[in-house]
Amino acid sequence: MIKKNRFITGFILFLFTLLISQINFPLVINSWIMPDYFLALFTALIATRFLNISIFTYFLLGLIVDVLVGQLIGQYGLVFVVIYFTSFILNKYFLFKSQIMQASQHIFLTTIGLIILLISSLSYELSLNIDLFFMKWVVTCLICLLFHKLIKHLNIKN
Amino acid sequence: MKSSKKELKLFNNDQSPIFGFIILLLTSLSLMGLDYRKGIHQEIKENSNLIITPIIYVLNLPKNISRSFEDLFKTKAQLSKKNQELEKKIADLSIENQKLVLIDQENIQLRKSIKIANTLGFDFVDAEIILPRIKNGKEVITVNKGINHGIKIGQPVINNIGLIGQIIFVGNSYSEINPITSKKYIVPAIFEKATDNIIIRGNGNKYLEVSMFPAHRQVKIGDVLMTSGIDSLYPKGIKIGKIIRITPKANNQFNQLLIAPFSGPRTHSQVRIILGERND
Repeated sequence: MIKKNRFITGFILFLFTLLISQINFPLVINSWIMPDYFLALFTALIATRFLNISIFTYFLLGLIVDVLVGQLIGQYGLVFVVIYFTSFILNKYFLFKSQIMQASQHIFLTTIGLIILLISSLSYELSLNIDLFFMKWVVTCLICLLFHKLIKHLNIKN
Repeated sequence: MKSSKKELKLFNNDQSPIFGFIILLLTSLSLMGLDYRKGIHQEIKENSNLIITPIIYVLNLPKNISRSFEDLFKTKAQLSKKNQELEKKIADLSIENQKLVLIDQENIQLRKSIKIANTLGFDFVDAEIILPRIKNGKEVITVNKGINHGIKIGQPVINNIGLIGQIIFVGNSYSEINPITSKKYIVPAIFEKATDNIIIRGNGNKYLEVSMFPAHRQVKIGDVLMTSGIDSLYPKGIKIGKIIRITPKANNQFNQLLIAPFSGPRTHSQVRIILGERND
């Protein structure tokens, strides 16, 4: 029953993310400053092990995200697989107990995801604007931490 | 001793996903390579626009409802005032039009006399922008016309101020436009004085740029650039933007030109999609 509730919650979160990914904030005209909502959501889902699903399912979800908002088929699939594996390794050797440790884990995983998305992007260039990429990293990490808080809150409710 | 080492699982007792990880890593890399070469993403996206269309509808619902209410509660006085204004505008425009008819006829005669084909006869569709420009971190303009209105991928989009972009995705009732300032955008251009043909590209920010313009060619800030039409895709003579900065490159052989587009991201709500040359 709990597992079923979690799947429904995950689906609602997915739809919510799809909705907000189609909206942009007023006065923000540079796409580099916009967060990557799906990366933030799935990093939080994987790190908290909220859905408790296999790496193959995350890959399939990545392909769905690719179809909906991605540039290339397999791009988000690759990102989610790498995040899942990194999270597995981290959880093997470290015990993330405190809030700060969990936040660090989320930020680390988001950073890996953003770097993979950047280098596999169709518009990748060596002359990268570091300031704008830093801004994107900051806002994506913030969104990821918000998702983490939300998932923890839902976890307690379940 | 050896077996106890193997059983060491520390904090995570789950089975290692290393096998699945390697398989999926290779699969996703192959898929990305395949998609880059064959463009399968576009086909899948076209078939899956049933999922996105309701979301676009939901996002536009508040705006549409407020617009409906606005229309409903507009007073008669407001409407008659607007009507008077419009009638005055029509009168002004018809006077302008009379002049233009004469100029047009003169133009046709002149073109005939110097045997230049008239390249400005294009069929077009007017569309309205229904979603903002940034979708999950990518610059995109969504408009309310799609396959049902004859839109195809690659068609140029303009408005009365200048060039806006190019269609990159078409659904049944909506399309996505790659704006000219996007990094993936390239357009052949010519100076207003018809001096040099150049290729302009978006810089992913608010501007366009020419990264290597020969330093010996004369160019100054404020020079206007237009589409050259040599690609047979964009009609000749559509305004693109004007030069706002000229930066010499390291070896002084070239200049980098920064171009501000006339048609900025906030200057349009209505756009015109060019379908192709008119078959008269």
